[in-house]
Amino acid sequence: MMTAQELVAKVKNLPPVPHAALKLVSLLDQPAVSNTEVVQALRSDNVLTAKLLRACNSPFFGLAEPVASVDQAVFLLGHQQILHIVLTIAFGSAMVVPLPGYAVEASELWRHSLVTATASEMIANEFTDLNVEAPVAFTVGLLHDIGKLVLNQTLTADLQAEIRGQIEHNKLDRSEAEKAVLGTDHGEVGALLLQRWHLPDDLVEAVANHHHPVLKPRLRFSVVTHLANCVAHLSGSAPGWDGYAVRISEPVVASLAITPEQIEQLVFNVREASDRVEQFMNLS
Amino acid sequence: MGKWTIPAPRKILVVGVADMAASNDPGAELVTYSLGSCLGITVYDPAKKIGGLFHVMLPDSRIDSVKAAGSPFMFMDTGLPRLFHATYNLGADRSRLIVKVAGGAQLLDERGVFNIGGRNFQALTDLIGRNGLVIHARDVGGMSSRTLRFDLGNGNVSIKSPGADAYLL
Repeated sequence: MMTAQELVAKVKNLPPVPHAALKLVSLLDQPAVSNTEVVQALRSDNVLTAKLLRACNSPFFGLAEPVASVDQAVFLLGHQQILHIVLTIAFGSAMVVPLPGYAVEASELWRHSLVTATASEMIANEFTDLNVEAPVAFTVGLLHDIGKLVLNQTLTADLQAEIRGQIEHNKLDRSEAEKAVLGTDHGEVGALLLQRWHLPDDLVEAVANHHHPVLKPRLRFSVVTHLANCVAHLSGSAPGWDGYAVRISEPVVASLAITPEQIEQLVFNVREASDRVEQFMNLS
Repeated sequence: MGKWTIPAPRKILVVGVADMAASNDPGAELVTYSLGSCLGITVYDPAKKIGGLFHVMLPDSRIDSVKAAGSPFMFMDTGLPRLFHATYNLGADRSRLIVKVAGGAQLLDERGVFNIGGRNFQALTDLIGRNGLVIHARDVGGMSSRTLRFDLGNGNVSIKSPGADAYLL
């Protein structure tokens, strides 16, 4: 049995993420961000800037004139689009890896992350009581499973079999089974990565608790990641043999008075947005 | 056939999510991937080797009837009749049709609000029953996603989940 800290300390390959992208994410907890701040965060990284400009000039964004500088890109596309593109570039290469410990093929985790990010934005817009801004919702959706990259490296065949046994025989969900076998789960491990990157506490919480969301004393961001993850699984993005070993939080369903029709509508809307997800797959 | 005879390559047709295909080519195989809460429904006329496969996502088009008109294969109520008619148009006989279904995985959900897999299957059995047909074989529910392969030469439907062996439904 290990804590998330002990487990991360054992792992050699932590996902490499450009500092400039993390700087941009850390701006998310500020009430108002100026174009200058966004530009400054990005300008320190030439490689990221080059990739960003190339992405902005792809036909997907339909700009009339090609952009040549970060200033121009931020001005024309706006903070939200820039954040989406930068995150896609920054985390895409780290997250397009096969995860044998989860029976997940390369690109499946990344597609699931993008679908969850899309669902997360929609949920933030649908359930306004949650009080989550769309860019934050997108970000936490994108990063909710990043702990799997780390955990996967420690999952020997024996441990995998043990986790599988817990799910099949004891009716645990994936996160509960990981805790029973390892002492921690991919949510806690992912949250620890975000902490190391000095990302805002709300984001850390959203990743840590996406399988057991926090409702008291107030609904926290993990409620959004929880719902978004479940909707993504139902939208055809449930990678791995245990793709449906996810427990729905009863208190979340009750407190937001969620109806079956709402869930079907969300699944439909997420599916309708699948072209956009594929475009983002191509950017990274 | 001699030991060195090379069989003709199979024609594989992939049916995407919220899509349908039908064929009368006995050399063809219809395949659909990552059936989660979605259902994969096959119909087959063994005498004529005509079959169709429908990968359906949601039970009821009434949640958005305007958009549903543009994507009828997203929904059971609008897609299933089209699956049957596609095989009739190729010459299949309704009385011979063999119906099989797989998918409908469920999240761990006490209240069933998220149980789209179950509602998909309920919508299917309602429609099938109302039309006096029967489901001949099914592999529905559970927590795994499934890949479905449908051989139009013999009507075999094989199901495979990640980390498990394929088997014939």
